[in-house]
Amino acid sequence: MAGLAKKFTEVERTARFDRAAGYVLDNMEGAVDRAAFLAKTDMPIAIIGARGTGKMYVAGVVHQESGGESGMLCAIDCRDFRNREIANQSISDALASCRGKTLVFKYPHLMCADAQHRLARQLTTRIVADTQPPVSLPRAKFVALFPDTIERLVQNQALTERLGSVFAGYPIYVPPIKDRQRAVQRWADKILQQECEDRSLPARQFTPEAEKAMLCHSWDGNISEMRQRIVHALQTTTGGWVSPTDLALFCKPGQRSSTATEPLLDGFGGEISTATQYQPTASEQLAQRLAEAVHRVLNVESAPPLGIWLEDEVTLAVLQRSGGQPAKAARHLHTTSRNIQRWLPRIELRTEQRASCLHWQPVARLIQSWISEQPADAVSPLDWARTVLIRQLESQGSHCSVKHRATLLGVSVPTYNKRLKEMAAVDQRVSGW
Amino acid sequence: MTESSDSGAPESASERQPVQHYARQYQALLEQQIPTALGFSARLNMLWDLSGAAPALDEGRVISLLGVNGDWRESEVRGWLQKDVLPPRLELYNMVKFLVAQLGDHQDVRHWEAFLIYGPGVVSSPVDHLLYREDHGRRDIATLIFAQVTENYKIPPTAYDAEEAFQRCLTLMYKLNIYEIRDFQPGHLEPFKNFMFSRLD
Repeated sequence: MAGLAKKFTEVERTARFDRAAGYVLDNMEGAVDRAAFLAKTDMPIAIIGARGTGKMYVAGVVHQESGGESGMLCAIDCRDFRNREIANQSISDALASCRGKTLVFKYPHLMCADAQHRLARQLTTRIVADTQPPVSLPRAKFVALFPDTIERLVQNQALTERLGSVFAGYPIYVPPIKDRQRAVQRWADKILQQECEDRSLPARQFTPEAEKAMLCHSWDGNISEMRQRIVHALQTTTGGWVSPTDLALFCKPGQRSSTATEPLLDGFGGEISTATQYQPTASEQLAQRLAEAVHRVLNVESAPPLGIWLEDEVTLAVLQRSGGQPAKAARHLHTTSRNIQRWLPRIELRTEQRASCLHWQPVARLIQSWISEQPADAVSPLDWARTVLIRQLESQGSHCSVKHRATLLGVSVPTYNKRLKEMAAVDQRVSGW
Repeated sequence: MTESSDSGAPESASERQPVQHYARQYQALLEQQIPTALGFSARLNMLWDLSGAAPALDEGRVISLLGVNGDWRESEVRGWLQKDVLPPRLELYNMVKFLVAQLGDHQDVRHWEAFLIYGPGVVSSPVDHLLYREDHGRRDIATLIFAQVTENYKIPPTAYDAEEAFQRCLTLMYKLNIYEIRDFQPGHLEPFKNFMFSRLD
């Protein structure tokens, strides 16, 4: 059994990490199989799928499997044709020089009906239009990309029946990535690897929390959206791990406890599982929970002052760790004991308010464990927590007014702007180093 | 008169409408010509491609077909191969029977006939099983699953036809969207065992 398990692991590792460039090994629920099969026939091929699903990737498979040489895959974006003349001329030029190429017509249903008819006639007869005596089209592969089924496009009169029929022989459907949960991880790993290499960054990995959050996400923008989120994450994160916060993905309440179905090998002892390699620190967990808290209250009108609550909890946790001694707590908080004594009555007044908010309780517990893990000479926990919160307000709340963001931080607008400037100055110093 | 069931069909003969009613309805639904079989020509050309019995369209397929059957006329062949015109039923049957015979495998002529006319949106593809035959990656995974199932259920090699069990394994992988090792879960073992070795029970 162990030998078999080892072989399983080797195959899987090869599948996920073997190729450094290009797309990930992903069958797209049979689309790649069908593309490889049809590439060996002379039939014009339709590739159908929503935006960002990887239709060009499948077109690339057709090109490769038909023996096409690199650099001979040519996309003709029919969205660029402003009128019939331009469409006809561009297509004529492309067809005249298509020998050995794979011509990919992107969204040909957006051309005028006349241009569609002309293209259909040339593809069905394989004769160049308006030639006397007739001249055969050079040998090439013809592929068209559509966002919807051919039947529906014809029914809606976007696509002419003639051109629709040319490509309706055996269409390839590329399902959205949200329908292929297992593929989410494959693509995410690959894109992360590619983007790190492009930026000459050391290799990074997703935290298990990030993997779960990616599985929960709907990925309406498909693979394009995934790449955008990963690029954004690499711009904001500095460590070796990419968290859900970096990806701006937040599980809905109740999703956190759900467990993904374990693959076979974990069901047979789990000795090869790598899921336990990453253990988030308390500060990472806290950052994640704060991001989720901001996500939850951003669009709420009477939102709680998260910033004030955060400072309350930090102060109380530090006091508890200091055995209730204000002087000791003050050193930890990088403030004076007089300040702490001044804050305490108002913190007490807000206790009930904080306790009545169910979503806040996990944050409060995390703050306690975070403070208990902190070294005594660390940076001020108040500053750190405030900065995390402001960053989240800025990254998630760009659509909200500054006033609303200031309210969530529990400060006035001028103070909020001042804090932003301070944070930017610190960032500039860090990047200058 | 009592209203018929949800489907619109009468529940009993006594509820049947007068024949004039159906005559009017028939006339209302009447089409003057068969709706276009979208993609018929493309699929027919694909079958000719797969059969290898004629050159490509741009190399004189139409003329070549006239050599296969001298009774065909050039205009009608062009209609079949380029304009989604359906051949007469007997003609289509004979053509498909001839082409399928060239494929070398056990193929269902009527299945191909229906596929050519209606396409993959209506009729399951007769070539799906050919799609993964040459997929080495998938065959590697199938081999591992085969080994896993036989080892787990202690099935001796004498108890099964290995080729049939292997093909069944590939088929179920395709049906269950198993493309990678990690798609195979512990819960898959039993259905794979039942499907691959159904004759053992």
